Amino acid sequence: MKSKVPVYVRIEPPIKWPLWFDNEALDAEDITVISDDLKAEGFKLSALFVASTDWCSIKDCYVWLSQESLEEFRRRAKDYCAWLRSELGEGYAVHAVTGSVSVSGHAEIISESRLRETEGLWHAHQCPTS
Amino acid sequence: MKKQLRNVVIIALSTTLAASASLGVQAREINKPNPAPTNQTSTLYAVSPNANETFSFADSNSIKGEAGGKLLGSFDWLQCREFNNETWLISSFSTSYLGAKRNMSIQCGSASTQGYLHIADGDSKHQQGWRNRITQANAGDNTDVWDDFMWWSAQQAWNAPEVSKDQGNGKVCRSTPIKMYGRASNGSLVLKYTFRPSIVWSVTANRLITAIPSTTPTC
Repeated sequence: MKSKVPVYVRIEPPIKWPLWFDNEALDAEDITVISDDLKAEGFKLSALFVASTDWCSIKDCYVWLSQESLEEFRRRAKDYCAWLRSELGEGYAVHAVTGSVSVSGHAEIISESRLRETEGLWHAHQCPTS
Repeated sequence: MKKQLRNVVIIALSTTLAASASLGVQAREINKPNPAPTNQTSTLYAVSPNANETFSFADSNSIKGEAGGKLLGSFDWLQCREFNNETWLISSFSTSYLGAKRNMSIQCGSASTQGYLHIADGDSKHQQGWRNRITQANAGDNTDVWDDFMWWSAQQAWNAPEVSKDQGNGKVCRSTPIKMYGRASNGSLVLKYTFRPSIVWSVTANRLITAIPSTTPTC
């Protein structure tokens, strides 16, 4: 049985193209295994994270602008990862991610499999932001 | 009781290693491997043409991985993985930025913030990316030196950037070409590929935030 190619979704500025294939494609943007619309949505998801967060200089990490920003990101990430799985099909193992907030109020990108650990939770941060 | 005993053992080990750790940091600051052929397994080299520096995977492979390795020594491992000491300094190098001298470092950090653990354990899977870069050059090569390779590449990007962008909030993103070479059967060096990692630094905290093994700069 042929093993599936792991595909990682990386949401972390300054990354704009969010996919990393665990094969010869790596982070190539000119891959033909997904549609142009899905490629564009990947760029939009990365941009949404930027638009939804601010920088916490003390901890060198991101903070969500609001709980609504986090929830919107979660929805878009879920839809994107589902779309990605659908287009890539059986030969790939998509490592989907979602947004989360740490106990200290910092923005986190976590594996979608951990979604329920922090779903619906919100912690305010103490970071001075720009 | 068992946990208490484990803590005692860890503290004792930490004390024993403290002296060697401080020497280790000094020794790690200079990293100029000799590109001459060796009889060790890896025949890969990474070359930074802008900095005129070479990284030998064979030399790095001769020292064991994360818990006893070159970048993350045993004492560093304890600080990062047992004590969760986010600001623990693993390694640093002297440099200057905007005319001011400073030491840029890699700290333990955490999976969700910055530093070694962010690159190693974060859900962006950069560790896997750095390992992929080694196997891209030679499928069977040992990838356990991914962190030495990553830190060496980060220093090249800082010291000899092809791209340097101020991202605001005290963040600077730099990139430089890294050329990956293997050896042909006749011993000559063969260029396998070139990539341009994107390295993000905090110039307020003087530390590495993240290191992305990108094909093209994403700064």
